[in-house]
Formats: sequence, structure tokens, C-alpha cells
Amino acid sequence: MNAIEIVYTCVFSLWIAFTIAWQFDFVRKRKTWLRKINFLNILPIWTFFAPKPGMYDTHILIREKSQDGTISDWEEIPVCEPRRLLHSVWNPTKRKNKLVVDAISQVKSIKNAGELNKIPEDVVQNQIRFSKGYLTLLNIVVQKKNLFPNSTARQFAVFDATHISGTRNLIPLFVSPFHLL
Amino acid sequence: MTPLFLNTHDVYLWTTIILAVGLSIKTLELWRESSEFNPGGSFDWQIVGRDSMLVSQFQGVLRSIYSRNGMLIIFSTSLLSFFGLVVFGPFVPHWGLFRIFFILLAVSNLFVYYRQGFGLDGADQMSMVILLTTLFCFIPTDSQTIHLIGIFFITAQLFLSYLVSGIAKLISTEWRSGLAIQGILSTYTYGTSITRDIFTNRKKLSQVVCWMVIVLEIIYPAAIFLDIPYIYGAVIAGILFHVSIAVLMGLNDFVWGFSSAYPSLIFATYLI
Repeated sequence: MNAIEIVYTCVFSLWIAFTIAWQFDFVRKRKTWLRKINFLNILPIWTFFAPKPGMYDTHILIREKSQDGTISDWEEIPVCEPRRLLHSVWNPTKRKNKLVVDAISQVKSIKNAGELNKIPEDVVQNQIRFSKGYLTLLNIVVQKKNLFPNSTARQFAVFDATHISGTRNLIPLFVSPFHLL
Repeated sequence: MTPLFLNTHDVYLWTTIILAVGLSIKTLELWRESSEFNPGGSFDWQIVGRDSMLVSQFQGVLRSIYSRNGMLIIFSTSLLSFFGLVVFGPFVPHWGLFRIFFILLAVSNLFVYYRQGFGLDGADQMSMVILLTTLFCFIPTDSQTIHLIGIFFITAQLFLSYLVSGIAKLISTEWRSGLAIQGILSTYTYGTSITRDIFTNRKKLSQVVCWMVIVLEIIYPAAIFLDIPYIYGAVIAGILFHVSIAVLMGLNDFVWGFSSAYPSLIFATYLI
């Protein structure tokens, strides 16, 4: 082996070693040096749907306030397209759905961390509102056309839904404040 | 039985072609949704690139590259490179041009990878691993040793992906009880009316399927010890596993992302 081949062996062995370490949740949370190494996002997470499988559909609902203070009914923004066989080869909308799931997941984790560390509610709410996840959701929400011609503000709510027993079970996750339009 | 791949060049050729097919489908899917890359769209760079924007020294450049027009140029480059790789790979072999088109494919798709942040899945990660490995271990050198380092690395990542996934499922009560398959395939996101009918009230069946997935994923790395004819059986089983996920859950890109690692697995098996 020449020097270059030895360098390659070391680099790729380290890549595998760091990938193994990166699979552990506590490593991803606590090992800041590994997070710095992974600034280019080259360490994959291979846990796919485990240990907590994604057994939920996500629902985003919006409602609006008009100039005279009237509040509309809740209306759903479709997040996922009904599944078709074609999706086994062609599924362009799945990324938008994954975007929403990841965004909600970030908001949930900020909320859970706040509860766990007993951080004051207003601080947690501020952390959430300035997070990428929340702003991603807000960005999707504000795309929707107004429900009232003279709407002044819009609020959104996020729900998870399971259908395990054949009946729909809705789990409220959070409700935003009204955002000016 | 004649080996499917005679040398490391064959391995990287077919790895690249399979990967490029998958990346081209992904590119066309993103192209169809390209209005979402506009300001105000779901993938607006000002929002999804928020973390990058905060640390990046190249905000202006990235904003241009990651605008809708910038993305359309990146998509066009990716599709062009796919045709180049197919023409100058198996049909009119020319390694120099093949390497140039591979660099275009890798660079364009790495731009796409780094734009996403949210919304990436396991297939995107496997594609990134294979693109970077091929870019560093095959494109700049003819060293057989470095080619083999890349091939064993891809095989190791493939095995790791199955093993980690299998172990994570094994320690999960939802997976061991069968609830995971019931839960996932009863959603409207991943399931269909057929999967809902089949799994909703069949706990035993769900548990059997969950355990089949756990066992398959955990024992898959043992494939490295199989003899030549049997390794093809393991590869077919792996591909069928990903095809079934694509059909049942609509995760089409896993078929291509993971299948592109199989030439490395087959060649690593020859050597062991």
C-alpha cells in the first residue's frame, strides 16, 4: 500500500466508525464534536421507521379572522396525496409530505425538550416560533388562498391521526397563534 | 458460473447506471414540483435553508443556485449526465467521458441533497454515500486498491443500514408486537385501502410480517459469506424487499438507491 491508499483506508474506516456512532440517539444529541464533523450531513441514520414507527397521518387545519372579528370554521390543507399503485415508480408529492412530517417532528422535539427541562412556556413558544420546523409549516399555511375576502389573520392547528383499529383517532399536537396576513 | 462483474470498473459502471436511473426519476419528480422552489413555495430556500443561511459565507450565491431557475439548471445537468453515462458506459464505452458525466451527476445531485435538509429519506442518504464514494474512489484514480476500498465501504454501509434498522426494530415494542406494520400501513400517507383491509384487524399476520422484516434485516449481512450462485438469491431477495416497500408504501426511490449498492456486495462476495 502506498501513502495515498493508507490515507483512503483511514478516511473510509473512520467514516464507517462515525456512521456506527451516529446511529445512537444520545451520540447525536450530546457529542458536539461528531456533530461538527457531520456539518456536511455525510453520516446517514439507518434506523428507518424504528424504534418509533411513523404510524400517523398528519393533518394541518387553518382558520381565519376577518376585519370585523368573525372567525371562520377550520379547513384542512391537504398534506398527502391518496396512495395509488403508480407511486411505486413515480411519487413526486412524497417529499412535501416528508417535509411536513420532519417540520412537525422538530416542533414536537422542542416542545418535549421544554417540558423535560422545565423551561418556561413562553420561552419554549418563542423557540418554536423561530424554529425552521415552525417556519416551514407557516410557509405552507400562508400559501393557501384566503377563506374570507377580507381576512386579516390566519391560525393553524396540527393533528396526528391513527387508524390502527379501523377508526380514526385524532391527536392534537399544537395550535398556533393568529398570524397577520 | 461466470461472475456478473469481471473487474472493479464493471462494478462502478453498474452502480452508477442503477443509481443514475433512480436519481433521474427523483429529478423528474422534483421538476414536476419545481414551483415549490419559488419564494413562498413549500421548499422556499429562505425557509428550508435557514440553518445554512445562518452559517454560510455564500448566502448570495446559494440564493441564486437554490432559486427555482437555479434548480432547473441543476435538474437539467443531472438528466444530461444520465444520458451521458448510459451512452458512454455500456453502449459506447469511453471512461474519460463517463467520468466527466459522473462528476456532473454527482455535483448536481449533491446540490439537490444539500438543499433539502428537511424531507430527506434513507434512499437520499444511500445515494449520497454512493455518489461520494464513487467520486473519491473511482473517478480520480485507477488504483485497484482504492477502487476496492470504495467497494467494501459501500458494502459495509449497505450491511449497516439493514443491521441497524433490524436492531432498532428488535428493541421496539411496536415492531415486536406487530403494531408497527398495522400502524404504518393503516395510514393514508403510506398505506392503501387494500393494506388497511388486510392489516387493520389481523394482529397475528402483522406480527408475522414485522418479525419477517426484523429477521431479514438482521441476518442480511451474513450474505457476505454466501457462495457465488447463492449471493444472487440474496440480492434478488433484497431487491424484492425494496420493491415490496415501493408497492406497499410508495417509497419508490429506495429500490434504486439500495439496488445500486448491490454490485459492490456481489463483488465483495467474490473476493471473500
